[in-house]
Amino acid sequence: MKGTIFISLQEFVEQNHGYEVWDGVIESTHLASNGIYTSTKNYPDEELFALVGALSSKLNVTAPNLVRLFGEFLFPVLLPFAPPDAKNAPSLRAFLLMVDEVIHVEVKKLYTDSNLPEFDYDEQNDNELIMIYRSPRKLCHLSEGLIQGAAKHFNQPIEISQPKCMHMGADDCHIKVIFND
Amino acid sequence: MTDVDYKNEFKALERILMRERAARKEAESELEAYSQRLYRQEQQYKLDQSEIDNKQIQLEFLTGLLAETWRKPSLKQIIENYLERTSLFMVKAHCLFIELTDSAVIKKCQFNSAKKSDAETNLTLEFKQLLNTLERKKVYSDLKIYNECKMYSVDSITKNYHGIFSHSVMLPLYESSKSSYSVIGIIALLYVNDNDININKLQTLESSRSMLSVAIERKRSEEQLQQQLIELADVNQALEQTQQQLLEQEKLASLGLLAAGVAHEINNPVGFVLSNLDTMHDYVGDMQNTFKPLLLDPGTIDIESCNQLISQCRDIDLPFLIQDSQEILKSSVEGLERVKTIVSDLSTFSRMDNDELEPIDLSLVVKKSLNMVTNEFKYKHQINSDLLDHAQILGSEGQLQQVLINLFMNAKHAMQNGGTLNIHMYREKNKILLSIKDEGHGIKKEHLKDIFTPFFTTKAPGEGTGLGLAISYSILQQHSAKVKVNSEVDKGTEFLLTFFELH
Ligand code: HEM
Ligand SMILES: Nc1ncnc2c1ncn2[C@@H]1O[C@H](COP(=O)(O)OP(=O)(O)OP(=O)(O)O)[C@@H](O)[C@H]1O
Ligand SMILES: [Mg+2]
Repeated sequence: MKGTIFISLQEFVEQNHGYEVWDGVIESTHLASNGIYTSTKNYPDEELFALVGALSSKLNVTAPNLVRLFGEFLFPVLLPFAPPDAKNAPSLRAFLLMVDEVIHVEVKKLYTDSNLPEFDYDEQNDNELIMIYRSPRKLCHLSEGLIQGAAKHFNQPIEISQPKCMHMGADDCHIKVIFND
Repeated sequence: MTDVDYKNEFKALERILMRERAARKEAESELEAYSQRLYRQEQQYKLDQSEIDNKQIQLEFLTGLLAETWRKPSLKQIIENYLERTSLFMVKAHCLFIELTDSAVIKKCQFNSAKKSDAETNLTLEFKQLLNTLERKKVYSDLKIYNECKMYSVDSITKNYHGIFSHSVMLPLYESSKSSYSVIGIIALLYVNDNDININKLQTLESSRSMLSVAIERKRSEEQLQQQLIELADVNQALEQTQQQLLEQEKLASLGLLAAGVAHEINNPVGFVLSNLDTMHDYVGDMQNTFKPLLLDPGTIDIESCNQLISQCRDIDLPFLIQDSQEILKSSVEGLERVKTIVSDLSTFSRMDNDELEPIDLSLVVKKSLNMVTNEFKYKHQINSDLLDHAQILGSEGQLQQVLINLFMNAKHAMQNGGTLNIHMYREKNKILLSIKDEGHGIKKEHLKDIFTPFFTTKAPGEGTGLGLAISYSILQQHSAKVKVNSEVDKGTEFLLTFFELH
């Protein structure tokens, strides 16, 4: 996982719960990095999971919820780095369709060592989009949050649900986005 | 907040700050590593760039060579160009071309002294020394066996050489065998210092070799072709000369053919003019006798002698004598006029300077030609001619006469048992048409396309050369005249000639 994600998490925690909370989890989790992150470097995924676990118990929120909130926070941080085509997408739907084939492709070009999820799309209905998420990191809730952040950016009310989830033993996650117009 | 709380908060801030510092340091060293990487990449890029530049130069050398080689008009210039380009490309090498025979003779030698760094006169001497001491047999057989670029230390291919060159790369360009010997064309690159040898460039040069060989091969066959062309042109000229001679001969032949007829034609009037003159001789004798007394002594003339004179005049039928003399003289003059005409017609016909076209009267030419053949037609044949008064065209009288006589004679030959030759001349717009029509055996369909071909004849051997129509055709072409043949077997043949009328 890229340093950016950790730094964003730190900002998310400091802004919402104070820097002592962040310092607390760093002190208590004994990470290889010692909580020292630079944006372009890669850090073990386990550090993220450990931090999320410690935060969830310290703040008394479920890990999925914490990760969702973090995703929403993360979206406007990542957006500036997206390619212009994506930034100028005409709709949320169009934007989401670009995540796999445009946005993450560009990320991969810039950072060949990045670890990105894979998305397939199910577009059967006009007013909904199912994003099929696959990743060994099982960060489907982060996706939910990011999508929520994107919806805010595009001013598009949505409902998100996950009829299928890897955390429930499925092979992949079906993130269903319903566009409320 | 308690003191402890403050203290804890302070500690937390301190640690966060420490981590930030550590992160910054990490980021800075990351940055450092990154810029070093960037620098190395730049260096690599420069290296790549110079490699690309090198490749570019090599490519330019090859494409330039390719483009120019094909354009050069001769083998010598191809090699000259190659030497020049090679010498510019192989900056440090001195280039020399030699053609070595299997008996170790240097057949050709070319070098390029365009390079500025060459002290030219010295270089010539250096080349000379090298060639003089070169072990040519060895080089020849080496290159013949390997047929590729080969590097030598100069010592290994010379004897008693003391010049400036230390190394040489020999580039065999072509091999060829003549009847008595075979040769190899070689480019020799001569180096003063072996450090100057650039393997990369040599590889490029080696790859230029096959292209050059092809070009040389082609140029050589081109030159051979050129030679053949020259020979062909010679043959053609000889042929043209022969044709010209044949043409003259044909003319002489038809002249010969005509000679008998013409002789007859001349003989006839000459014969009767002679017998006329003989009669005149008698008449003049009679008259002389009768009038003699009048001339002797004018004083002795009396009635008696007058009566005697009158009766003598009656005896010799003087009125008849006078009238007949007049007729005799008139017909003699006519006869001689005829001879004169024939002789002058014959002379236009036989004039050899027949190429100039000038304004002539076609009717007159037809008449003259008819004059020359009337004798041929007078026994079994008739001639029916219907000509225009005047028909000005651009032409050569002599040549057209030849054509017409040939057509008339062909017509006569086609009418072995007699018939009429119809000659009709008329206008159509700005054209003059001349129809020569016989009632002969006609021309078979399958022969129609052949009759203008030289030596085509249906006549028995010795009777016709088959050149008549061929020559007529080429003459008519020179006159921009068209020929059309209408023929029906056993009915007859019409040759229809069309000329442009001159205004
Ligand atoms: C709604 C839109 C997006 C979704 C759903 C999404 C989803 C994700 C997820 C789930 C991950 C975590 C890695 C994983 O699950 O394997 C991730 C990583 C990442 N995404 Fe996105 N993403 C979105 C938009 C963007 C945008 C706009 C950018 C900006 C260029 C971006 C850049 C990245 C980067 C840099 C990573 C980290 C890669 C690494 O750690 O090696 N994403 N994304
Ligand atoms: N008026 C004609 N009627 C029939 N056949 C003709 C006539 N004119 C030409 N031909 C045919 O064309 C042939 C070629 O004629 P051409 O004048 O070229 O040669 P030639 O008369 O045979 O020989 P020469 O060279 O002595 O004239 C003749 O042999 C004859 O078969
Ligand atoms: Mg003839």
